[in-house]
Amino acid sequence: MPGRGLVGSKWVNEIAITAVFGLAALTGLAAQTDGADIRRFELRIENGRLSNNFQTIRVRQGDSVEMDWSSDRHVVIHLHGYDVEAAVDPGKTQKLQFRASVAGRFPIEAHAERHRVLLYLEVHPR
Amino acid sequence: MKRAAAYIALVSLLTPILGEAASAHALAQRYDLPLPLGYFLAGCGAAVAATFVIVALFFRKRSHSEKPASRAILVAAIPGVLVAGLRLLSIAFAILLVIAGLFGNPGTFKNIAPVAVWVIWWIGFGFLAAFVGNIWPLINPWSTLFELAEFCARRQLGESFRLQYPKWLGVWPACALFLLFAWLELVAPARDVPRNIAIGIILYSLMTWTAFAVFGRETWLKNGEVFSVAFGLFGRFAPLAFDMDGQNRVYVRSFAAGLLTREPLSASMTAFVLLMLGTVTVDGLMETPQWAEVVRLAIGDDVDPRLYMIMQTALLVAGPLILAALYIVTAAAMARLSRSKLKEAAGLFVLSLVPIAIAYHLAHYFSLFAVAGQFIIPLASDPFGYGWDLFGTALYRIDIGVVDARFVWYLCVVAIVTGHIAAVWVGHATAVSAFGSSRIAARSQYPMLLLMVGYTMLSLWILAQPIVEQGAR
Repeated sequence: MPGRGLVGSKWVNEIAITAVFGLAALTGLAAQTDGADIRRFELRIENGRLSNNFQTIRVRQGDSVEMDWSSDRHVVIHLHGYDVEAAVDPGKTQKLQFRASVAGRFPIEAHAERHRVLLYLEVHPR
Repeated sequence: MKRAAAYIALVSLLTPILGEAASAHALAQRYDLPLPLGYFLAGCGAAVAATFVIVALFFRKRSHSEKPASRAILVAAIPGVLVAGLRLLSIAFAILLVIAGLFGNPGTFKNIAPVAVWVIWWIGFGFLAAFVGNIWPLINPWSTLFELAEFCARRQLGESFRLQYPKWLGVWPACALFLLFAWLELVAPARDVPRNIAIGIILYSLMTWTAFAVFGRETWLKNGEVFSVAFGLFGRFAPLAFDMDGQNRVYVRSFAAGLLTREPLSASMTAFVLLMLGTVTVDGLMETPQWAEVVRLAIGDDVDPRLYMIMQTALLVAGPLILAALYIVTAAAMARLSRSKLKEAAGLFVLSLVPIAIAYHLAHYFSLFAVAGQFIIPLASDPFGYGWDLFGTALYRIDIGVVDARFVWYLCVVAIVTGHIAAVWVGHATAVSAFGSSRIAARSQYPMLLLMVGYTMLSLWILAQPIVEQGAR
């Protein structure tokens, strides 16, 4: 299911992220940076897939995440791990809101006639 | 196209047995963040550096072929009451799991069987066997029940139709069973369904007892009882060793000392080790985006679960075969450098790869064990999913933040680099004791070092990939 984007851009993204806190953490220099942010994402499902090219959303632990979901048909969005759900009806925008309190990589699935991973939420430690 | 249709027909035959795929969340869902690039590079660098340091420091020194590390530091007797108690508990748990699986709630997380078997027993027992000691021979319920039956009957069961176990068969039966077990663990679609687990336990029990009767209990435990062979292999790394030859004794030795061997392993045992190492790696590979891409190229965007199962099965078979091919090439080079036979070199050094596999196993499963293992807390109070609350823990909610993400990263790198160092040490110590001359011993290890560094880097690389789930239900 994941396309080329994920593979291609992974290392480029990783370099930026790890340069900041990967290597710093290894040498014990990880500095506590700014506080939590509010992160907003607009996500639209068409034909059971995400229409934007998002494959992974990266936030930092402690951030408040707000997702605005819309869909061309009825679907239930489920964020695993955190176990929060939102039912999305066509023509409406449904908010999915939570605080990213636990670090990890969590699949967000669309539960329609079958379960399908739409994208992943990565919560990175500060 | 025609071939694909044939495959689908073949798999359709299996589907009724597998039953309705659980619509619940997969039990083995992992939430690990990929190892950041910095940690990956640091791990690789440390592994290579450690290799050079060990080569520079130890490979030139005149080592003694008599390694005291392989001997026990301490021997103690285990009280018979303790053994009897553990055996009774083990039998009770086995019966509980079968009853829960057959008659309990069919939900994966509402029945004690799936979590107890896949997380607590298979993963947890693996950790215990590798890092503390392999108590499986002490508590193996199949073995105990058979002994009990023999005791009640006052005679050896199956004497009238006892067959001589063919020598050439070796541990090949355990190899076949391990491959089947790995398939059930990693590929089978309804592996989380309690009833299937109970049926699996019953079928395996019947097969094991039949084999005990036909070939003799001891013989089958050594060659065919796959969990005895598998936990026994992990247990070679552990500091505690249990001797069950009637005396119930525990030996304390240094870590990895049990992996040192003077006698080359048989071809079938060598194959078993490689099979186990290969499946551990395949387990990780199946969650990488690169594998997802291979699947997408092969069967398109809309993943047909059955075709996907066939691809997973192919990888499960191909992975260990590729590892075996690489190992044989390495062993051939080692044999040449040490002027020994290929069979001897292959059988001597395969155990030195085990620490890397154990380290990867720990890195891969640690957080899953810590998170999914918590399900045993509510399930202990309500094992059948009937709404009981025996210990007042039925309402316990799983804490997914129980292990810190950064801690897991450190653990991954430290475990894998340590495993690599142990592997290099085991390889060298084995070579010194086998070849006598430390010059030949050192020379023989260069191909192995190459393989070890490669295997270690592959393990780290897999951990650095974001987990991608496929064939979502």
